[in-house]
Amino acid sequence: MKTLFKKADFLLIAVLCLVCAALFLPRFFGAGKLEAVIYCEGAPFRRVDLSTVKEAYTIWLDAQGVVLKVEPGAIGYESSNCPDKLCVRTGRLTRPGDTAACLPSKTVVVLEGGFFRKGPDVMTY
Amino acid sequence: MARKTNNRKTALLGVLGAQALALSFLENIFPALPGLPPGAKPGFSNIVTMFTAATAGLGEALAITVIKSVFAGVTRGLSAFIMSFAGGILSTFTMFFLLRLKSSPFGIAGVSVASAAAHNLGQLLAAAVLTGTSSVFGYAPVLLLFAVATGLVTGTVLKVLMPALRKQSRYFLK
Repeated sequence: MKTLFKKADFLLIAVLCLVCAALFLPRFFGAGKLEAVIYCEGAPFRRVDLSTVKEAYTIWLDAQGVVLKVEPGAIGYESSNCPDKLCVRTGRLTRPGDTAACLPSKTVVVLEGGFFRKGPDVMTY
Repeated sequence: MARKTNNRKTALLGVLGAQALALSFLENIFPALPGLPPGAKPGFSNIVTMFTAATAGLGEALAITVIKSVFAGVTRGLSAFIMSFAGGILSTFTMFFLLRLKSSPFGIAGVSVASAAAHNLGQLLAAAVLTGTSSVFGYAPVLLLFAVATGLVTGTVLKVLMPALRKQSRYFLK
């Protein structure tokens, strides 16, 4: 517990950076359909094809106290009843793989498209 | 005599706990960094947790983690408590294990980066359970990159602060 850097540290950092790059890359090949999936309490609640949205509109999730704003090619939390508003501060999601979550309201919005086009990946308990 | 030492240890742990809370509070008043998921924080209080894990022990470091989570819960709500607790416990076990490795290949920086990554993993797991979907793992790449950066910073700060923190401990335990 004296030295700041040892050899294995560089190896660890290099491996983590590589994993990171591998996870990031697919996001830059998300051509074609861009679909937002809105999850409520762990189940996909609604899918919105953002590539066909012409005019902005809002989605009210009354039970969760959440309002989502849908725009051409983007989606985001507009307002929420949660205490910390982290979901609103996440801003607009525009790329496949982009994620916004609101833990208190148990809602998540994920963009699928390109490499991220897959079936429902819902964990059940 | 033994009792007196115990009291002193408790007092030292109290001071370390207070320092960890002060650092947590400090990073909460910073605005969210652009490009990062809001709520991603530098984890300065890990400096204290790591010092405690290295010099006192696992139980003491876990105690600090629990105090931190309770503070998060009181000030920011139940989901903040769960997130802080899940990340804190996993990162404390990780750093303790890496610190106790015989002739450890890792320096302070490596332990710090690994524990930061473990912290994020714990939080993602907690978030997945809270929201009921694994889709929160979309945050993983950004968080991982951020963990490497913050781990390097907190590790370096700990290295610099080490003499001061040791002096503080000696003041209580001697």
